[in-house]
Amino acid sequence: MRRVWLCGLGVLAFGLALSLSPRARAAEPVDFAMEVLPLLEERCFKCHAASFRGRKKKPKGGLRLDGSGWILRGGNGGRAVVSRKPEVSLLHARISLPDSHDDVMPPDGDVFAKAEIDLIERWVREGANFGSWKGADGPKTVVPTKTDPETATTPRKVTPSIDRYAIYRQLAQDLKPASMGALKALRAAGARVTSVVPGSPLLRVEFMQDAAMVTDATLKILTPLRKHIGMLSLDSTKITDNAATILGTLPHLVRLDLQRTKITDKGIEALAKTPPRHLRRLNLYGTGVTDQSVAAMTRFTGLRRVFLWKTKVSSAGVQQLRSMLPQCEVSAQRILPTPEQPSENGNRRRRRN
Amino acid sequence: MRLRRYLNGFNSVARRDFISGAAKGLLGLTTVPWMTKFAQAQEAGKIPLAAATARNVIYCYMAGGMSHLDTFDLKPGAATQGPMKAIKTNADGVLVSQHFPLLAKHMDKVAVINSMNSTQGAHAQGRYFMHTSYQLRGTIRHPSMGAWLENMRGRVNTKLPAHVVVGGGAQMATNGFFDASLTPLPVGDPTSGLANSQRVEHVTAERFEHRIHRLEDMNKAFRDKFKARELDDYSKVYQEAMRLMDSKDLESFDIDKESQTVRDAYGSGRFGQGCLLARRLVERGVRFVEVVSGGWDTHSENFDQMADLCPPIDRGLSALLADLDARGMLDETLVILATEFGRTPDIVEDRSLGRNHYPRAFSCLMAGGGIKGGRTYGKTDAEGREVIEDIVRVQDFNATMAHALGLPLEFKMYSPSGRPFTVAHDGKPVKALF
Repeated sequence: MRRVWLCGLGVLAFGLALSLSPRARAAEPVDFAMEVLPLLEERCFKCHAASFRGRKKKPKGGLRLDGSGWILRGGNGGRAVVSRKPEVSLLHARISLPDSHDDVMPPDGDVFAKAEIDLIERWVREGANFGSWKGADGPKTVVPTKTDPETATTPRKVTPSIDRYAIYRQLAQDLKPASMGALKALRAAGARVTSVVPGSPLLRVEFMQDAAMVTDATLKILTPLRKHIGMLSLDSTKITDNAATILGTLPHLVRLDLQRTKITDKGIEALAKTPPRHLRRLNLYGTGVTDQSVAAMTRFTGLRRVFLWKTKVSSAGVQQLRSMLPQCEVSAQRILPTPEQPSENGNRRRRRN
Repeated sequence: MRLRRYLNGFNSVARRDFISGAAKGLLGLTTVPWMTKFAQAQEAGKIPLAAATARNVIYCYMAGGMSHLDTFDLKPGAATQGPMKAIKTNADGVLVSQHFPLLAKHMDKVAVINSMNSTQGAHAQGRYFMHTSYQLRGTIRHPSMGAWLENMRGRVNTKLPAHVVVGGGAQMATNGFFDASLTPLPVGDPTSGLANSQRVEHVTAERFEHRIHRLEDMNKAFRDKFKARELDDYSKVYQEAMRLMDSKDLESFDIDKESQTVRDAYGSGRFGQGCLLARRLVERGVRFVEVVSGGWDTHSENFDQMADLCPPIDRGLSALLADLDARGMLDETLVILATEFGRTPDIVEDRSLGRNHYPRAFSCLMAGGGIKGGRTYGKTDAEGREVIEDIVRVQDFNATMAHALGLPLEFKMYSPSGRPFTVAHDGKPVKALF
């Protein structure tokens, strides 16, 4: 009982400290040696440093964090810290994985608290400045390079395996499960309704079967569940630009599939007036949107992925979108491989000599 | 008559199961309520479904045993390589054979598993093992992955079957001991749509309905007298077929709805058109589509035959990957290229340079559905004889697939005789691929 009490107190005190400290230092940049280094020492050095308590062992994953040169070099998986880009910095990516993930760092002991992760993210975003700290002498060779000329081509992009459902977990935190009545009504209207992740109150709503029967009017049934909709697919439905008024009222919408609908620039512009704050993925392939939508889309600042194949968006428009939303991957070009020779016969011919 | 033929095609295995099941039922041999148990567990939320990275699978199956040395496990300079040349791909360090120039431009999406290992060296046994993770036995039929998927996660589009096999019949993909309604739907020729799914012209909708009612009346007396699960399954199959006949979604079986450019891009052969059909079906909510390509049993003239066998795969698979990617479907669609075993590194000279069966080491591909592409996993030795790094057994491969689909690997389901089985037997998922 007493231990629980103490723990509770500890959590309270910690929470208090967190809620106060960022405000106090909001304008000041993060001091690496004072704020970040102690965290790394405590949680990471056991495996990611040259020696620990006099015991010599190889740093795990080829990553050392005990010197600024080592940190910048990164490990076998790629760069640990990319200045100003926490989203591609593996150090940040691996500590922000959910607790249950296999790759979360550290593997034993306490994982990083939200505030600590935010601190490290802020430090990277501010330019990963080490101040006067240098730590252990840096590596002699700066970047590990592959040298097999037979197989070496262009270096591959390192994409850290980030849990794609983390955002849904975050958004679902204060959400109560949807009412059974509203779910029933939605299903009765032909929607497939599932949880975005098993057990989550956030919903994935799709009009999969007989999508051609779904119109703007059908979407009214979304309103009672507006806070619960995380993913919505209207692929091949008969919705029009008027649907935007309802789509704009879905605060937790992360993924929106509008491909092969009658949506036009007007709809996208209407949606951009109240852009869903968490919208990350927007599929518009096979719609009539043009470069006009690109201007509107730059207001969806959280976008990470947009599909514009078979639309009227020009390559200049795609370019503009890429430069306005640098974190967003835009799929647009017609990439089906074209036949290089007369197509082969259905029946395989066998060569005999 | 056409409907009857259609239904026969729809569920030929179900018919067989039905007959044997009915016989058992009538003789009072089987009363194990395993499905009920599962249904209860499902309702109570007891099946611990995990977050999935994929929800659909397009499973390209190279029947006959695809030579690993001549496709995706190249050993330039080795004596076992023969005359086959390696080419570079758009992924660093990933080589493919000279017959895959188009796929080479998409290898950044593909993970090549070079350390596959099977224990079964004959076709029927190998295919069965690859599809079910269990060894072929006389006493039981195990379900394949598509049936597990439908059973545990349900359908995405309830009007379409969840599990379709293109170009290979239903001999390999099977509902096993599961409910007969989980039998995959076989589509023989991808270009001819779903055979016999239209009402014949002279039968009006009313007349058709009238006939069905008549049928129901006739069956009812029998059904009431002999209550058996198999009978319900069978009428369920009828009902589903009729719902599909009325549905707009039937269109997804019709690849004539695709533009000629798209059809050409996939290649006009059966495999390419099968891939195109698979994409159409997955797009409309079919969860598991197997596309079968036959003829890989290259005992003789291996190198000549590869020159014929590989190009349709090259074209079809690369078009499929590009198409899925452009439509925003690749991140949720796991694309697999699998086979029952590899072929001997030693080239058989007196059979015009052939290769024999070789289950000890072979290669399979995984792409999309949360798989990180652009790399190889596992290694064979310098001549492609033995797996020397990160062995992936057949059941591990299937466990990886199940893991991507969020299926619980430990969850036991019971056969009619009460024996427990799990989705990938004792397989361990290769989490490094994600």
